[in-house]
Amino acid sequence: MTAALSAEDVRFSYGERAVLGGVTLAVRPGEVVALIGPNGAGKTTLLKTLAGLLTPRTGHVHVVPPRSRTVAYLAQSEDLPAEWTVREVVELGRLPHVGFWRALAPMDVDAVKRAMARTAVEDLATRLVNALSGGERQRVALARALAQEPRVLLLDEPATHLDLRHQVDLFAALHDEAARGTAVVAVMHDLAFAAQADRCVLLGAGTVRADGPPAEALRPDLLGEVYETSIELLHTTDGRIVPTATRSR
Amino acid sequence: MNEARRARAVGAIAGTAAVLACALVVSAATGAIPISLRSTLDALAAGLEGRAEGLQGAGAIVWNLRLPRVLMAALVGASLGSSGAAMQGLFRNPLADPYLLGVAGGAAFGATVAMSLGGHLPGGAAPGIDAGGAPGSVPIFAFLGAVGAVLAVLAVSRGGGRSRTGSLLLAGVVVSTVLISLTECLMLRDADRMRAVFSFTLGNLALSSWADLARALPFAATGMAILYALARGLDALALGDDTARTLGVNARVLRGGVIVGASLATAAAVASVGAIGFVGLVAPHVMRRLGPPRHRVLLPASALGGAVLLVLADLGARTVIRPAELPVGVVTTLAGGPFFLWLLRRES
Repeated sequence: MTAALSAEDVRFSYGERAVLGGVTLAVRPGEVVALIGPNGAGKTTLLKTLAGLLTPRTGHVHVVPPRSRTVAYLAQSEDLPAEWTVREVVELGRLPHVGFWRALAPMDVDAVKRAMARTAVEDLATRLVNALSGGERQRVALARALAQEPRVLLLDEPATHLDLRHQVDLFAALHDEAARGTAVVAVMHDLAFAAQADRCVLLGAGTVRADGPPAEALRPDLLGEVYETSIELLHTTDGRIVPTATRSR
Repeated sequence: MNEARRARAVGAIAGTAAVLACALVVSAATGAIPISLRSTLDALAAGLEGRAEGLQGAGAIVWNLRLPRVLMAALVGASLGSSGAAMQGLFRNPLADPYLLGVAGGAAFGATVAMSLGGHLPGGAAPGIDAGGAPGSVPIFAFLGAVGAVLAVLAVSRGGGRSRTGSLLLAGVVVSTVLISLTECLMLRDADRMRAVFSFTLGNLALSSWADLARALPFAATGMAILYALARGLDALALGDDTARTLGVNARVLRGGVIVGASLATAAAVASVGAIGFVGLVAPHVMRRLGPPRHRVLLPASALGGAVLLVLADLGARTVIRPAELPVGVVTTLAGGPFFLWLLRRES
């Protein structure tokens, strides 16, 4: 199947400091990719490059144009304007489809409704954003991104500020999106959740150190080397892998 | 938008428009010579039907003197209100105002230059100087100064590692300070005209004529129309620069457009009547409480709100120490300052 998004030999540096040293990556429709790696490995930089927010020094990122309709991006902690209602925020996701002038068509209203239903924020539609909890805000931000009806969904640590139950719900929602054919790329810190992705891309010092299904990509020796700590894999009775850190080297 | 929000938006705009209409009529009826509301409305009707030539006495006062003044107050208030709302959206800072990028300092400098050169300019600067008005070449120079200051801010803020909005703010402060110093130098060189320049910087509506209004209107209207056209971009910006960009908003175009629109409208206002403070800051804050915060609603609402505020401030300026007048800028600052502080306290 053709890739929904692909990056070829992407290099990026902030001034003299090289952050990405030649990353090649292709994401297929319907795939959930966990982007993992220690702090400073270049995860956020790579995600922003994929989102078109940063221009690579060399290399290319390919998506179906126009990018704003193809790719939705959810920043690490998205600003939500306090005095807006939830529906008003989600409706902004239709901006790439309606532009600065056209009113929302029935098709747009439907997309907004579906996005709110999938993130379970329908009941909050008329609430003001500043009256929401951290978990609710994150779901609203996700609904805004889904309202774009993107083919590629890029998320930077979407589980921040979420308690365990909401983390589980969030990852379930991401898998649902993928099941509809969306390519999902999420920067993740929690390796236990990353292990449930279809594919893990391990980034270390700006290069791809491993790329494959969790069982292949999450090797204790390699993880230990990249994260600079000892990592063990626990195997649950239902066949999941749970990486855990034991001690610093 | 759901029904309740839509109703609030319509209510805020229609309500403010109705208040504005009343304020305009009452203000036109009030002055050194009180004129009945009935005579005022008659004069308005006559003028609108093109019979202004035939007006005499009270009718002539209303149509020829008071109406251009209150309409100028409304136009300037609308320009400052919508520019303030747009700047607050652009910089995502509720304390941003239309003078942030040096428009006021540039206009004061331009006006001072025109007054210093005095009779050497076409149109001259003599007749209204003592009354502190803006005759002849003064508004033209003030407009050029305001636009020049914004261009200088844009040039100074170019480059550097700082965020674009951050460097714009810094450049605005620097250019304003330099221009104020230059203005003061010119004022000291020419002490006779100090009073006139000083009066200009305080803001004055007293000498506004139909001709002044006709001169300011195209610039103010174009500026406000540009801002309105960019309203959804400002909405997207509320989600942050990055998110706005991934929604397809070209940040450079948006920023450039808002700066051009706000500067045009503000420069037209400042050139006509001087730098009137607090309207551009207070009007959007008040309107944000009355109606939904989307810029499609907020911008026209802030324009109407700014118009109401300035028409009422002008009414106050003309009546508080009757028969003398206070500079309207003093009224907006004295009333706007404490009001704004109260608003901030209530918010926190």
